[in-house]
Amino acid sequence: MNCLDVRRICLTEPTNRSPRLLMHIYSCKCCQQYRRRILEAEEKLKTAMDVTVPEGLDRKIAFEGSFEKPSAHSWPRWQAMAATVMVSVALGVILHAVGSKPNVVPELARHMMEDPLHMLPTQTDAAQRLAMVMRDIGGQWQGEYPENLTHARLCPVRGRASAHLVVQGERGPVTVFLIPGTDARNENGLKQAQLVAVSDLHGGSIALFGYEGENLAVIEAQFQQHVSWKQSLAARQEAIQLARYR
Amino acid sequence: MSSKQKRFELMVGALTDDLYRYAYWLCRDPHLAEDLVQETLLRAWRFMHQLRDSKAVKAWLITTLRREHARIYERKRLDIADVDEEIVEDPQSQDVLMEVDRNKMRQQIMALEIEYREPLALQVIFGYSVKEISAALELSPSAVMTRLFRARKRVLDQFGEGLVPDELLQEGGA
Ligand SMILES: [Zn+2]
Ligand SMILES: [Zn+2]
Repeated sequence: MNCLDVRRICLTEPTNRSPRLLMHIYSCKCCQQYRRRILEAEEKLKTAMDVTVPEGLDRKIAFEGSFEKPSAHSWPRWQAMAATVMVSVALGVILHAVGSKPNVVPELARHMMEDPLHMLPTQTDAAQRLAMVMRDIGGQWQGEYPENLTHARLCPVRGRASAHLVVQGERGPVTVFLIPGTDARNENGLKQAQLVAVSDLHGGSIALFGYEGENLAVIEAQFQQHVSWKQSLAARQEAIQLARYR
Repeated sequence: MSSKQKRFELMVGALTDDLYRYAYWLCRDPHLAEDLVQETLLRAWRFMHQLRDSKAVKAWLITTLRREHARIYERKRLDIADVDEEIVEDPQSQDVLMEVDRNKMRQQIMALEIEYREPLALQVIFGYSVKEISAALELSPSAVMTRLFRARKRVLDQFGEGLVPDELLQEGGA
C-alpha cells in the first residue's frame, strides 16, 4: 500500500480502519497528517448533513402505525369479510395438497389480508409502477402494458422481492403475484367463492386469485406472453436480505 | 402492547432520524422527506412479521425509500438542476461562524447531482462502506468510489486546499 492508495481509501471510506491502512499510517508522517485533515473535514460533513429532523416525527409515525390495521381499514365491511372468506378458503387448500414443492397459497392469502391492494382505489400510475416493480424483481415486461392493470406494488413473498398486482377481470379484481423462482407447487382449482391458480412462468412463478366464474387462464396467458426474467443484482441482493428476515 | 408493535416502535425510534436525513438529501425537500419516511416506515409496519435481522431491516428500508422517491421523481420531475438553496435554518446552533461554514457546505451538497449526493448520504448518514453502497445502488465498487471522490472533491475543495488530489480522480476511472 502506497501513499496514493491511502488517500484513495481516506476519500472513499474515511472511517476505514483496516490493519494495512493503519500500518502505513503509523509509519508515514505525510499520510498521518492527511488522514487527520480528512477526518476533520468528515466531521464537518457529518454536521452539515445532520439536518434537523421535524420535532416528534418518530412519535407521530409510531402513533399512526398503532392504528393501522390493514384488515380493518377504511374499506367497506363486506369487502373485509370477503377477504376473510377468501383467506380461510385458501388456507384450506394446503391441508389436502401433497407434493415436493411447498405450497405458496397460504402465504399469499395471508399477504392479501395484510396488504389488500385489490380493495384500494385504482392507482392512476399503475403501468409506471409495474415497470419499476418488474425491474426490482429481476424481471421484464415486454410489449404494451396491460390496460386492465389497476395496481402494482413490490412485496415480499417467500423472502423474495415479488410483484403484487391487481388486474380488472370479468368478475371483479384478480390479484396476481409474480414470484422469482419456480419452487412453488402448481395449484389449480375452484374453492367455493374463490379461484386459485399457481403455475410456472418462464423460470418464475405466477399465482392468480379471482372470484368464482373468472377465467384465470385468460389472464394468465396475458402474463405468460409478456413476462420474462433477468435476475438483477438488486433482486438477488434483496432476496438474500429478505431470506434473512425469516 | 403487542411484541410486534413494540418492535415497530423500537425500529421507528432507532431509524427515523437517519432515514429522514437520507430522504432529505435525496429529495432536498423537508416536506417530501417527511412523507417518504412515513410511507417507508408504515410499509415496514405491514410487513413486521417478515422483518427480523436489524441490519437487513435497514437495507430494506433504504431500498423502499429510494424506490418511493424514484417513483415520485419520475412522475413529478422534482429534481431541478438549479435548486434555490432553501436551506432550513437550524435554530439550535450557537456558533455563528460555524453555522456559516456549515450552511456553505450544505449548499455544496445541495448542488451535487443525485448520483453523487446519494452515495455520499449513504456513507455519511448510515456509515455504509463502499461495498454496501454498491449493493444498495446496483453499481460497481469502482463506480461508487469514483462518485465518492467527486462528491468529496466538490464539497471539500472549498474548505481544505488539495484534500482531494486530481490524480486520484483519473485513477479512479470514469
Ligand atoms: Zn504515506
Ligand atoms: Zn402486497
